[in-house]
Amino acid sequence: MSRATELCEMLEACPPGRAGWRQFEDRCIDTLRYLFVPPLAEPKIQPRTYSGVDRRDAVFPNRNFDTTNNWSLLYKELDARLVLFEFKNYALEEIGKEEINQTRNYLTKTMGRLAIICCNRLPSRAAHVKRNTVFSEERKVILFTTTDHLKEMLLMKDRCDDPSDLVMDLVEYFYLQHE
Amino acid sequence: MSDIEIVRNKHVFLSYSSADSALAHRIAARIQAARLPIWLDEWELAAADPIAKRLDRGSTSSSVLLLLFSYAASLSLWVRRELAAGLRDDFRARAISPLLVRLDNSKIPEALMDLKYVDLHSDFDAGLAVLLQSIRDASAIDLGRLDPRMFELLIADLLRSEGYDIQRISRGQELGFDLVAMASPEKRSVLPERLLVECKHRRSERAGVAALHEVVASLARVAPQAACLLAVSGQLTSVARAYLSEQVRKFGVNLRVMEGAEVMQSLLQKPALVQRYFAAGEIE
Repeated sequence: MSRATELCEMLEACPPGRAGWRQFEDRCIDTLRYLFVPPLAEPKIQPRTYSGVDRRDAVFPNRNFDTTNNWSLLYKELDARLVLFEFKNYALEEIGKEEINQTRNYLTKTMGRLAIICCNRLPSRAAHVKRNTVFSEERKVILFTTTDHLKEMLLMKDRCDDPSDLVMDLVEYFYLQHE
Repeated sequence: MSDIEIVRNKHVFLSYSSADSALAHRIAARIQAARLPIWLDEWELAAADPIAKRLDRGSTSSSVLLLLFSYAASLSLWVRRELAAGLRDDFRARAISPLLVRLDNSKIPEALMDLKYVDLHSDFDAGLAVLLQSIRDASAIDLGRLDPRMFELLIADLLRSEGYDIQRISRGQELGFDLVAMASPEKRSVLPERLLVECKHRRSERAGVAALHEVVASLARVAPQAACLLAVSGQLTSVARAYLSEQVRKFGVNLRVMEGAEVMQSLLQKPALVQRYFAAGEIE
């Protein structure tokens, strides 16, 4: 079995909600590492308390200063010197504006203006509206990457396409729909 | 160039119903004798068994999949429209080229009718020769090898073969498209009379959301009622597809995308074009 297929299966096997949050984070980090390191550098995994529960974020250094790949474009466009990935494995509740605000606050000047929330399902409409506000006010871009997106990127890598093309499409779609 | 070189990094998989096992082994033996790297695995497609996952043996990228089709296969769930559609998505995501091999005169389901098929029913040996050449063709096609200009010429030739007259648009003509295809009079009842065509080859410009946005904007500007074909050498992401569906829904643009997998299927129906663009003539 290829590594991509193996990771797809492991992502699918994560139970939603509290029971599977740790597993979901680990599998997402494994997947992101497989997809993007290199050209991104090894992530720093940072513990963080959210709503009284420990969660971890992965921060991938982006040192693509002089290249012409997607990460270099994102570095130039969004000062994405560090790319923040957060993980939300919800069962019943939805990702709402509170989570978007948390992410927004984490995107300090040194972090840059790009965060990617890896989630097992799409956030609420309120979250979508909130991220538009965040972009209008501070030019920070918060993307939502579902488990299906992660699986798609694994297959893209397997067929020798660049998985970060999907990230670029998410960015461009976000710009175009932004009101 | 030897056959083995032609099919480098590519595998040929064979899927069949157990009722067709003897014939499957006979076909596999002939394929092996032709020095094509067949992977024969005794399994049948099942509803809950994503075929591409079942095929996974390391990397399946660019593999060729032979689907033996017979009365026994026609009773399987995978030929049903919705499952066949799922399979096609799976093939596309993994860049797998399916070839249908017809073992008897069972009717090919509508959902699979656009696949290249080879008939072994009426004349086994003659059919097998065609099958071997089709496998070689499928293995030789590599749209990534073409430069953007050759890709545009290939799309023009494919459209010609379907009954269009082609006019290339020079850059000075501002339309924002590469070709105008006019259906020949006898084809106008089945084809759009006039088709604006834009070709995007990965080497010059990826068909991402921003590029699709430009095509939609050009179409809205120069010919909002016109039919448009966007031919891309690779595959759109699900995000790009979602963007395009939204544009079609919101603004009613008449835009169809032909992705690399579909270009490849069309090419398999036209061996002469495979020869012209991918030097298939060197195989022997």
